[in-house]
Amino acid sequence: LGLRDVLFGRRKLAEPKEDQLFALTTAAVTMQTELGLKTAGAAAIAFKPQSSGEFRSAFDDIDKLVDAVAQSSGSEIERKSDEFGFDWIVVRDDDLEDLVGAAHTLASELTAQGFGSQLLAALFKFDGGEHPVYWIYGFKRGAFWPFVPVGDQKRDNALELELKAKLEKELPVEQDLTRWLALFDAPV
Amino acid sequence: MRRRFSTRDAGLSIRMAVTLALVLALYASILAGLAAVYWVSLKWGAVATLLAFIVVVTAFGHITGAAEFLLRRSGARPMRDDPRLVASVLRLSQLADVPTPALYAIDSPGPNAFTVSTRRGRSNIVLTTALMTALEPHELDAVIAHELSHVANHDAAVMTYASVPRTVGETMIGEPGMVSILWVAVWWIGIPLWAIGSLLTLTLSRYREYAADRGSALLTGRPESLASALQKLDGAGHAIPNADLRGTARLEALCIVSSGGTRWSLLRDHPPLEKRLARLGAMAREQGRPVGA
Repeated sequence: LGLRDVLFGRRKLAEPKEDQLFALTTAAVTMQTELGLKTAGAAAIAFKPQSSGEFRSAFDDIDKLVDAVAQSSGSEIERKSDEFGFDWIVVRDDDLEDLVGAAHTLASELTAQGFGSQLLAALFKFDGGEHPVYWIYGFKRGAFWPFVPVGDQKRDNALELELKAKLEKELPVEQDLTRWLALFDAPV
Repeated sequence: MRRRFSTRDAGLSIRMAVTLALVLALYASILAGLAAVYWVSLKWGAVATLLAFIVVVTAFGHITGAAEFLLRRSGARPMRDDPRLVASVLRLSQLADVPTPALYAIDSPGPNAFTVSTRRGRSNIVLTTALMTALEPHELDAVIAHELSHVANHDAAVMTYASVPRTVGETMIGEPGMVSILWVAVWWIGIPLWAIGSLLTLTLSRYREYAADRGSALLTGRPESLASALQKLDGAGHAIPNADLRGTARLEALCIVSSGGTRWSLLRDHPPLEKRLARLGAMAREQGRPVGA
């Protein structure tokens, strides 16, 4: 963020940074060996749809592309929307690389069509502990943060901090803890 | 692949030793000052010794008396109604090999914990009610283990001795009421004594905090529990939010300045949260414990 943006007000939303996504596939090895966590075979990408026809027609093309990519890798695709007004694309595949690939395809296509700023986050689910563990990828910051919901609007901060400590050498982890926002009741 | 983190942090020990040596040097400079007065005049030397003695005794009185006063005035009440907590303190203190401290609770909206050592060498751990509601049981254990480490490391005594030059300096600057002509003579000696003494005491205090953090992680075997407790207690809004990303997404565009402000850490008696979390994170990595095990 430059000085000019501060002085004159920032007019544009931040463009997504999807290039750090693939770090998750290498970090998955450490997660498996050191923490006993493995992919739950599910990921979800959240974005804010626009009502403009321009967005609709662009998104139809992207939707078809995502379907084509999913078909070639054997993933299942599901679409959902939530009470916050966000749309979700849920991807199910036992291979983490395919999940990351799907998130990356969607992000780079939306960006190419000029709607990259509508992307919110990608969510990757891992199993193996007492509770499911999520890694949230914030497209605005290009960083991951851990999210371990335990029951009603509560999260296991200790486990989240342990995940950060053990994986921040190989995963770009958001360092500002106040930005570790939750995604309760996500569709995966 | 289970490794244990080492019980000692060599770098920290060295820095602590250097700081303590500097405190001793400060003590020595007080003695040297007295010797210098003797050299000028025997009679004034005796007067200066007597004054120094009074100042040191009142300084000690201030420091040790304050603890008991604090405990009585704060409205702390003995805590016996929480069997889990009482059992936990018993177990942790046996593990730390220190006499089991008494537990006190204070009604306070600010989450905090501290240890008060009374004159008979008994230590008391005081927890605020806000702390007990804000933390999970394992996080509360980590906070208690941190306080127990302060007890095991004799931090109250160490900090008392270390802060004598500072308190002496403070007394020399701050109490002109004694003998005003003498005050004019000594206040300019008091200022460097107070300034250097304060700097050393605060530095030492931060080091002792790191040591107690390490002690807590060793006692509970879970550095991440203390890390989690610390980020919940830090007043600067560092806590991991419970708010939903979708609910606050619109604020993102307004977030111009990163919330990670700079603070002048030299004048703080506790180390900044980021540094404490970084150290605990390093311990968690060393430990290599499987999640949930």
